[in-house]
Amino acid sequence: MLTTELESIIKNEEEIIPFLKTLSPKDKKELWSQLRRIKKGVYEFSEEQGRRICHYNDAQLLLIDVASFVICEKKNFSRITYKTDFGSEFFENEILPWYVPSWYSDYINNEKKISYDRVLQLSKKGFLKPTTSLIADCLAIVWDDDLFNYPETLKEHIWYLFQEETIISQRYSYVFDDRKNRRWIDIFTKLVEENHIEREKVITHTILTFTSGFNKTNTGWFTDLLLSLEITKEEILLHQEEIFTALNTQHSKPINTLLKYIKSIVSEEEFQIDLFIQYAGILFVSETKAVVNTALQIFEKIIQQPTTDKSDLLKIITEGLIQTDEKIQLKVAKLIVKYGDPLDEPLKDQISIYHESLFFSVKEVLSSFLIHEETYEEIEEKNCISVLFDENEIPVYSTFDEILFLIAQVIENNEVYHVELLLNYLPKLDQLITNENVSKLEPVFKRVLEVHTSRTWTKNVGALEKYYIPNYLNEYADILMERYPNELQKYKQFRNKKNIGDELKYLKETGRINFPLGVYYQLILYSRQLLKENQKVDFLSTPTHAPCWIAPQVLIDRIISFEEKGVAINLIDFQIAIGRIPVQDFKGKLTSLIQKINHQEIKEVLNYHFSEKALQTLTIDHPELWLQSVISRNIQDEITFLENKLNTNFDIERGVFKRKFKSEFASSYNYTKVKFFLENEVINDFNGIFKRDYLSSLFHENIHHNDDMKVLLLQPNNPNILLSKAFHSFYFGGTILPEVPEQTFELDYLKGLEKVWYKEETNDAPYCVLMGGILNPGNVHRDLSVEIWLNVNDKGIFDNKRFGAIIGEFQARGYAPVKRLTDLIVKRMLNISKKHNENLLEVLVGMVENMPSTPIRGIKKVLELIKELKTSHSNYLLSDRFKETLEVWKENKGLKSVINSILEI
Amino acid sequence: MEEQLNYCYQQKSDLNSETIFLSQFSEIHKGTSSCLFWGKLKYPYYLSRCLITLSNVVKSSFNLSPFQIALLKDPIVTVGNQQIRFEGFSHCVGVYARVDVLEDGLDGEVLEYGTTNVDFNQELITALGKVNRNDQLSLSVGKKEVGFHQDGESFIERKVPLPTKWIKGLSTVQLYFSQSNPIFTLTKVQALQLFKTLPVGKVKEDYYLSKKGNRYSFTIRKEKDTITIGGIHRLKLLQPLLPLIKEMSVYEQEEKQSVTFVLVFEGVKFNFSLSRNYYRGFSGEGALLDGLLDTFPEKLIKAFDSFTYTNQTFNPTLLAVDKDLDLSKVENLTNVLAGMGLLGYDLETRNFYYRRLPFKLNRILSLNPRLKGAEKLIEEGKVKILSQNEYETKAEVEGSGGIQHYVLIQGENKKCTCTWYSKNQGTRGLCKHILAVLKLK
Repeated sequence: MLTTELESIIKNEEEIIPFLKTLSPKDKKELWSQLRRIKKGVYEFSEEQGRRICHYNDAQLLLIDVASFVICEKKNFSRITYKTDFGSEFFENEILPWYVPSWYSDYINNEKKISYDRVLQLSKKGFLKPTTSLIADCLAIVWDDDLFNYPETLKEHIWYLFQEETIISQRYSYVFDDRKNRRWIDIFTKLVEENHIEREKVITHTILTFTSGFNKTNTGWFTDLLLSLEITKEEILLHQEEIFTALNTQHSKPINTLLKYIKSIVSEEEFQIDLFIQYAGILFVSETKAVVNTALQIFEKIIQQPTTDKSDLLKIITEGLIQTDEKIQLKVAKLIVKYGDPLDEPLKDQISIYHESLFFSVKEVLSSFLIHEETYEEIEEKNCISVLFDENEIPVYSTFDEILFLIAQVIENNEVYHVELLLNYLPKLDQLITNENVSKLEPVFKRVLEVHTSRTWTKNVGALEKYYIPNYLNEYADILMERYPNELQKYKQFRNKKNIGDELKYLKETGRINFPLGVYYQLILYSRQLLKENQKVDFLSTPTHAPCWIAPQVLIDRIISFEEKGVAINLIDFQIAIGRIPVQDFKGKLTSLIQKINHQEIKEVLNYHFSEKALQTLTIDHPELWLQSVISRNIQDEITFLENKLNTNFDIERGVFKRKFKSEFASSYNYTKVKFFLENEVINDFNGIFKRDYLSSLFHENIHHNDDMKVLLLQPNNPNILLSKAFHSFYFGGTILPEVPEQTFELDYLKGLEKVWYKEETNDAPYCVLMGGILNPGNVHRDLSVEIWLNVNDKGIFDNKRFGAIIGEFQARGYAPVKRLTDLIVKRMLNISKKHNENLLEVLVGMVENMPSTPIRGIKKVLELIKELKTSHSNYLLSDRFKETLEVWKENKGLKSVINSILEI
Repeated sequence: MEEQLNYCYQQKSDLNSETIFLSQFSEIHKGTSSCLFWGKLKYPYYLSRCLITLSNVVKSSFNLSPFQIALLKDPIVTVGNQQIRFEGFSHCVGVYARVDVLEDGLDGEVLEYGTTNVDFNQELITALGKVNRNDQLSLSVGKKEVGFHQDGESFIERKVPLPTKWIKGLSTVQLYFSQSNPIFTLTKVQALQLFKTLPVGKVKEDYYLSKKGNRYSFTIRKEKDTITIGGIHRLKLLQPLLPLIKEMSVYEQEEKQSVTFVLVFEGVKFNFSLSRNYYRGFSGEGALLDGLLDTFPEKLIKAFDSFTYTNQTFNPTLLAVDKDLDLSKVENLTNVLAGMGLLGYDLETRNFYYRRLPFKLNRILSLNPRLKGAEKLIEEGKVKILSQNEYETKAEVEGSGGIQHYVLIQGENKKCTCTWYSKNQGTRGLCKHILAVLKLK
């Protein structure tokens, strides 16, 4: 009955209030479902019109909202049209006098779509309990004379603007009679001028906002307000305690302003020196140079005063030495020298804390205050290029349960090598399956199917887990369902229910390898072959140590096992395996083991690989068996020998690319394109992993972000084709900022580089990728690149001069702002250790040697760093080329002084 | 719609010229006094800076897409063992902060042990910002004079979403604390130098705290003896406090699931803990789940509750020795008590302390969906033990679509074929299937 009445009232636009007034709580509950139905039907999508249409007019919509207002609980309440204003005069006069929902104040306070005037009207009548936040928000957007209409506005409410964060910084308003549209700052100054509000109170409240946690824009706005008040010296003195406390603010703008005020009163008698100096710690560690500089000026004024304890003050000033800016350090040092006593032991102790991070020029100035000449704690030289440790050894699985729980996580891509473990262990698992345990595989098959058929790409999963592994496992599930129809019924039902039909794809019998995952595809086919043949051998290429390495003894044992079981060795499997043996000295350790191998050529490959025999003395019938070993060992004579023997070159197999720069001119900027190309391309087509189509696809085709590392780790001793491709594809479009997806890939390749760079590299590709990382706009890229640089230097396997030359070559073409490099050096690479400083000097010298005769923007800082580093390594010999470049640059007045200093050292 | 908890305070917390008055509210107030502590603070400047940072933590959110505006929630205060501790979480529950006012930082009277929510409002925070180094301040947790207000209408009511995530997170954090070890201790200068290597902006990659020579830095390369830090940008919250510290210690949880920075000031300590990553809150980690499986008689729990309340500390080993109890049982009891929100953990003294969360016990216990899921599986008869001996248990648990998950338990080694386990390998707590088997075992 009630429901029909409500519907009729809305439909016929009748008077609703009398009806609503009669409703009991029970009636309201009853009406709620009807109302919900009505509300659901208000809007409908019209297929014909292709848009949402409304079935009610404005008057009807208002009636629905009024009904909702009275009938609904808070959790069910929502408006149907934005036109309905629940704080309007209509509600104030017609509804609120007889019904105020318990949630009304909460609703209005949260929604904040009400005017200041309405807030006051409603609260005066007791309908609304406004929060200070609501009042402040409404007041900040007051448009006209409302400021003067209510006594509480200027007495109380206006101060809420200093307590609550509002959008006052972006608002203008007509407040005064002159109808001028003013910024709120001007309104405040006028209010103060005309004595509507107390000046003292405005000053105090404004200063307090600096530590109220307001955002940068609002804090900046309040700083401007303070400046507009043009406070006098007397007022600054009066408010000095608040000003000092406000130095705790997280924003630099107010600190700069406050420090200027403090500077103006520092010589006054009433200035509270003792209190101020307690805040020095905050000032001297500031990230803003201006703050530190002004603080130093203030402290110099303080220290000049006869009554102050200079030693104590200098200890505080010493905190400024934490800054990594040479000029600031120098200022601090000069103050110490000017006012300090070289016999002041506590002061000297304090200075010594910063010794390692001081610039050479600063050390010179502070020489009489420095206790130790050298305090670097020497960093342990690693010089260990092994990658085989107990910590990264991958466990061996043998029981059904162990293999089951391994396979269950392969689809989640928890580790890059898991896919390969699956390929190795699935044939073994098959032999352990019985009708009792087979059903334990059902959840695995189910998950694989879900990932495979899901329309969204599961996080962390690559194309291998999304397509190729499911293809293999689906096929295997079919085999098992045939073998154990009763035991796998649940999975069968699930699959039928999913109705996947054509989506279920299987592996195709094909030798296809011409795509970046082609090698993996071949390994999958090989695994399936072993499974079908019931073979119980280990893949030669399955890593024994994370992420991709193989212990040499294990590889030889595996080969012997293949021969004992009469299983033919798969070429790709062998090539990958050889490429995953760490290149280090195993000479003599494996001789007797290798002799157990029957296959003559494989035996000789291993004899060669482990330095038992010279390549030149051996018979090479199948180059594809030797190539990986020759490339991994990377000894030029051996490479040349094989190239000559086969009358070819291995540039593409080894990723030996040349690079070419091309300047491009756009309307607003110039940039350089970088292209990698093969200088003397020959058409090789070795079998297996060196198949021409595969190598070509590696260079030209995209690889999914979650697969690229896996592909890189297939040949960890020879990653250069992929690294060259990476660099080529990132910058072929130009040296402008890379886009986000490219950034992700670049980071992947840097991560890969970190994993595989454990030996000396003769190819430019790793150096180029590292250079791209060092100069990358992304922090993470830069940080990782620095870590790689540190690590390869620790191991003594890095050519810093060459790295510098590559940086110089790219920087000369405007690759990235030089400041990015120098900032990174100061922040992360400088003063790590004496050895690292020498390495850094080599990089920078190498860089300058490869620069053009016209100095590029920002090079001065590089020269200053060279000066800094050369000063502490005076024995380092500068090349003629470097000196010649500097002589030419000397013509630039800005550089002359620093160049002279370098050449004089 | 999210459930709300209405905090009803008798009046607003405020800071007048001499006293910080913290208004308190507890769902379960245990004692009789309305005031837990009243006395002088010896180092009010440090406390106020720490409380401001705590409020910044509570207001912050590090989720990729915050589903709700981060509201200022009310920290929890524990008075006991001659210390006062303020604790709270970020909105995403990935950052935990606790301010410990130490015994030598207080000069006052502990009127009663207890834990309570205290009203934290913007005015109070602004007022805390005014406190300078020379100020003398007293602290009052709760009102000393009962009946200050004439009628029940005068309370201050704050409505914020019920911090269920906090409650879950609080129990996990205590357990992680108890499993954390000190790795590095840095001087103020070393700490400042370290934070100069903090990367700018939001960082998705893991970073590592490492020491090279005398220098500490945040690096992105994992090496031996480094501390893993996920969502490192969250550390920026600490930066304003660094110029004021005496030293800083860094603790790491055994399984690298959390890292904790302890900033030491005169009379005050600031504990700042980060979850494994910025998108993973402490609340969802489920670290306590297996510990909660043991059912203890309510009487025993109550007895331990009173015992710990009286002693204010809880040392499971000593208790086991003292009462001649099985240590593993007592450890599980510790988990149960921590999971119920009855214990906190002090990293320095390596002791649990009594900290009964100010929420109803049934509210706390209703917060473990995985545990509830496990109970449902048992109720529906979906758990079948296949074999069991003293070394291992094998079981089948029915999952969705009728497919049976295989659960294998071999001592500490617990495995399942479900997606949750396959993805996380037990690092984020046990799945409901394993929990169900453990409960039936």
